[in-house]
Amino acid sequence: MSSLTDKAKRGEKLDCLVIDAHCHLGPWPNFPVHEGDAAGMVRVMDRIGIAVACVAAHAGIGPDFVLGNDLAHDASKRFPGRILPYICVNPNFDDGCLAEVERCMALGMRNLKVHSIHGKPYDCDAYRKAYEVANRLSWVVLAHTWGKDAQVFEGLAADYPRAKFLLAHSGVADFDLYVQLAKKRENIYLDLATSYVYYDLVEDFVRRAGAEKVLMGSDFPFICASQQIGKVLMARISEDDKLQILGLNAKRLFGL
Amino acid sequence: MKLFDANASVGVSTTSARTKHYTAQDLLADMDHFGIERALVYHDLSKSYDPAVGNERLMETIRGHDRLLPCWALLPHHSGDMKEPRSLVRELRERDVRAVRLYPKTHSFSLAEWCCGELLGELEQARLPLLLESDEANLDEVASLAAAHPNLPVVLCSISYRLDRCIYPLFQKHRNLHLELSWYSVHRGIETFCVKLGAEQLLFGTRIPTFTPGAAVTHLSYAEISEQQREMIASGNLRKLLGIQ
Repeated sequence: MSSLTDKAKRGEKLDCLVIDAHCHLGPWPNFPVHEGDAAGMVRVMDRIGIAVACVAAHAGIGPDFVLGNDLAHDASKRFPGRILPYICVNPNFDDGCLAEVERCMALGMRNLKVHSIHGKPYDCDAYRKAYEVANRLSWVVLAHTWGKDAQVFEGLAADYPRAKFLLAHSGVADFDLYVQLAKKRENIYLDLATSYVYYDLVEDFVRRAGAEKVLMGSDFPFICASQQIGKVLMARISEDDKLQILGLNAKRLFGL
Repeated sequence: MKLFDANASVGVSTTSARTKHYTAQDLLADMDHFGIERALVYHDLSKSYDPAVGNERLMETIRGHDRLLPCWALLPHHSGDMKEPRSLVRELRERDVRAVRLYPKTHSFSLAEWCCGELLGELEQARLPLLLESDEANLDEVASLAAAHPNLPVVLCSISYRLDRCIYPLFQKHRNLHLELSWYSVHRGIETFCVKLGAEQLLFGTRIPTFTPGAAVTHLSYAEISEQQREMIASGNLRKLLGIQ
């Protein structure tokens, strides 16, 4: 049986469980997203062997949380079992957090996506109301972070111990902070998505935080899944560690 | 897929996790692991300290390793940092240096003709590829350079994934421009570029040791393009630019 590194070199479709825990959907104002709709995403997933994409629509991160959540929900209905939609919340609107969580739950959606683009601290009251739901239902909370702003999740992870906080873009800056948070809090996990595909980043996370704390996330179609997955497939870590990162950890966290 | 890395370096490298020394032996071991046959290499000192010192250090470091090809950093000659362009290009030929880099922002000079025209003209006449990191020159400067020297192969390294609205018209107009792929992490980006412009202007590159080559390898290996296009991007286009088999 060929190794994951060998499969990667050959561009061979993966036959292990791969769940991409950090994905988006649709257009983004800053640059063109080619074939960024659900069909374009599933086409790439089929080529690589990604079973499930956990999706927060771009529209939900900033411009219109209702539009974004509806688009993600529609995509999940169009590709059942392949697209798992996050609920995007926006604390700037009265109905942007708890009310939106309740609206989306009625559609069958679960798990949260929060983003600092909204300009509100991650521990503000509006977010906390959404975290309370996540805590009660043991959801994943995918949080955009960029170095030091991840620090706040040390306290939030203690306040909401049954929620699972997945720190997006782990290690893009302040690498040691992410390691410390993952080691200190049982319910903090590390997402690998970043265009800065730093040398040995995956190896260092596995060595210092443990493979069970690391999840494959690509950020696609914001950036490129086929590029992002290479840092795991070809990392100098064991095959078992790779399998955890690629899909087994996400399967456990998302209850799939 | 035979891979030829257009963007590798030796010397000191820094990531969010660590700063370390990276030797030719480290690079060769990584090339073995990631399945990379050859690499065009510069020394970080040629950017971060002094081009002349870095270039000589590079030649010492890679001596005897025929999988590693040198890429020198140059400066315009006006302030006496380097020989006048004709002599400099002669030396490059004599020492079998087949590609060069310029760092106009880091080294504080202009790419405009009044400053670099003579140097660029000699490079163009010798068909010596020029590598430019994308944060060293804006795209208007690149367009002017490419127009003034249409026979000079120019490789833009570490191009952002956010620039397609400029990349397509720029690369369509100036076919002497080439795009090194290490930071071009565009969803369906290789595929879309190949449909619009063909594969001739794309080059495999890793940015090792700042980036892991694994990402660059799968970016190309999983791209939905023809095997002929994949081979061109993997190594064929760069071999052609450097004039080697």
